[in-house]
Amino acid sequence: MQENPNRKLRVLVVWEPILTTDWAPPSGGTLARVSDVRVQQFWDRDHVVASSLAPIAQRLPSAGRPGCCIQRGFYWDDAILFPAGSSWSASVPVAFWDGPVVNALRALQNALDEQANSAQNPHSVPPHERGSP
Amino acid sequence: MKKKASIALALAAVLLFAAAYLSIPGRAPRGQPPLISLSGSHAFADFQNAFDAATGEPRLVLLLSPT
Repeated sequence: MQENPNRKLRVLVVWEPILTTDWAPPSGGTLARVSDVRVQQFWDRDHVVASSLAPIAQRLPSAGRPGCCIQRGFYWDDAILFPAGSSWSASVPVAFWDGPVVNALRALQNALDEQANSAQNPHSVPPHERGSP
Repeated sequence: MKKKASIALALAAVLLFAAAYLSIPGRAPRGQPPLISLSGSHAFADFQNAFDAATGEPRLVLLLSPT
């Protein structure tokens, strides 16, 4: 985000209790780790977001399914990118999904670049809508 | 005996205070909306509203653990 401060992007950071030390909501110091103004942060004690994402992951083609990370039955440490123009539903398109986040940054950057290119060339077919050859 | 009880009581008070303090959600960085706790019957609706409020741009969802 720091590398592309002007990129059109909305980031929804969902903090959820996964580790045994996660018994409290995120502190101010934790929230400050993601300080960009395009960010909205959530504390999801009951994993409602991860639970809602699970069926979306199930319907992804095997090549696009997240290779990581499920802990205690919930997705976590994942980055999921949804293209512009889509509202939330069970069939919302997914442009990118992988984790752990620290290892997925390069691929995520590529997916973000593709999204930006799609926005500049609206007649091109976005990657998430391309069929397999 | 009384001294031990006093120490135990003080320790319990400190632990209670620490637990209460740590259970208060932190403040979001300047420029961001306040942290939203997803709980209750409208828990997912709060997230969905935020998601759908920005349909004109890509949305990146990060699932993270606080610690």
